[in-house]
Amino acid sequence: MWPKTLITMFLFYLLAVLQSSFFVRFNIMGIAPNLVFILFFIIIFFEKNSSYYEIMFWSIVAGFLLDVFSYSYFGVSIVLLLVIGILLKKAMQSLREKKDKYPIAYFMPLFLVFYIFYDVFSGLFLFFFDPSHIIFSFSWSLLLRTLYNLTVAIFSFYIYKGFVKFYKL
Amino acid sequence: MDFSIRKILTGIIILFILIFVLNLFQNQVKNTFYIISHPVEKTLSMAADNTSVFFASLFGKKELKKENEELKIENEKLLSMISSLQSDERENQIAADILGFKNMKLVLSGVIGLDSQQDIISIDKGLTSGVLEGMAVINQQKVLFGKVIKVYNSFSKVMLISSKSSVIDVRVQQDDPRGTPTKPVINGLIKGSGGLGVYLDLVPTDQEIKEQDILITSALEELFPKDLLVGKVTKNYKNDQKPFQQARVEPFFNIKNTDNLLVITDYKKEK
Repeated sequence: MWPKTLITMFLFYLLAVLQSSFFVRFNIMGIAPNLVFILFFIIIFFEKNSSYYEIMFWSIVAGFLLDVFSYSYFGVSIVLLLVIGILLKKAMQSLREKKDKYPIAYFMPLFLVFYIFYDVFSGLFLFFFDPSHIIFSFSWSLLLRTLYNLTVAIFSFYIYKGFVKFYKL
Repeated sequence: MDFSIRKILTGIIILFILIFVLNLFQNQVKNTFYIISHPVEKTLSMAADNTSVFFASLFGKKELKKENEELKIENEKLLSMISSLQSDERENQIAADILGFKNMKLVLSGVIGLDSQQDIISIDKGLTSGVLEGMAVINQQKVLFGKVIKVYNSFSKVMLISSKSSVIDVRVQQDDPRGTPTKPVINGLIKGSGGLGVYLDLVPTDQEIKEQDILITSALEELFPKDLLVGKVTKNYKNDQKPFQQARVEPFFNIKNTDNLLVITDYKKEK
């Protein structure tokens, strides 16, 4: 259990550094993929028996890394990821049987909804709950960011799936 | 049920204590994390540079040819401007000032990261190098990138002019190469639209702005030095029924190809 947790934590760190340095050179219209968010989402999506403690643990790890590399205060991403993790787990419980049959069909809309939720609210926190920012947040830029991240998430989905199958995790 | 509520409450309390402690030592935590991650980030940035050069040469031959031709034309124009400047000693001094960054104290810094959601970059110089909040950040060509918004001991956060929170005073460049005003003064505001984009706003409708007009800082607020390059007008949106016009602007800053930037720590304010 611990080696897997440590490797995943290291992977989170590596992705956080990658998205803030390597992908700066490969941004599309100023947009870089949020790899930390994608990994967090995939872990919660695939872990069938994850407890609320596990969700909290991964929210702290991923949220800390997102906050440490951003301009925001600590806690913004931690709280948002915790809310997303709990809501995602609830959604998965109600979709359990169908989800196992057609996982990608459920992955995509869930990712879209939760990514937009994270993007809009993390922006709101940064602007100290300025209500005008919520209107400002819904722009072409948000749409492009969401689509770009969804594309990367779909690739990551299959990589993770193949990885789990190969190593029989 | 009581037990489960107690567990949830305990979890929430622990989480909030953790967040509180992290924020209490925010500067120290972020600075330590930066020091640890800096070598990794630097290596990855270099790897990204090499990779982007490889892909650019692989896929962008046509674009490179076009760009090369445009640069040749631009170079010829610049050469003609230089020769015209060289004819006059006073103007030669101006050119030397511009190229030599006279009247400015600068700190050279490396770009180490981009928060693409907020258009904020990190640079590897902080308080220990004399960087303070509010200082302007430019490149060697005097292109304005943004201003420092948060300083840590060893690094700083710079809000790019494309950030949605960024607003700066600009004016249309009106001088010909010899420094003689050829157009009336046109002032406006450059606002960030996110995604590394900017637009020009609050230009009175009776003023005429054209495509290819160059925008430079006007220093009305005295936040930035005068005449820093900002961008080029690409499309004008004029509606006579509105008191102000807007324009689409292509910013001069390019984060993809930038490794080093200059922080203006002090400059002589011109009147």
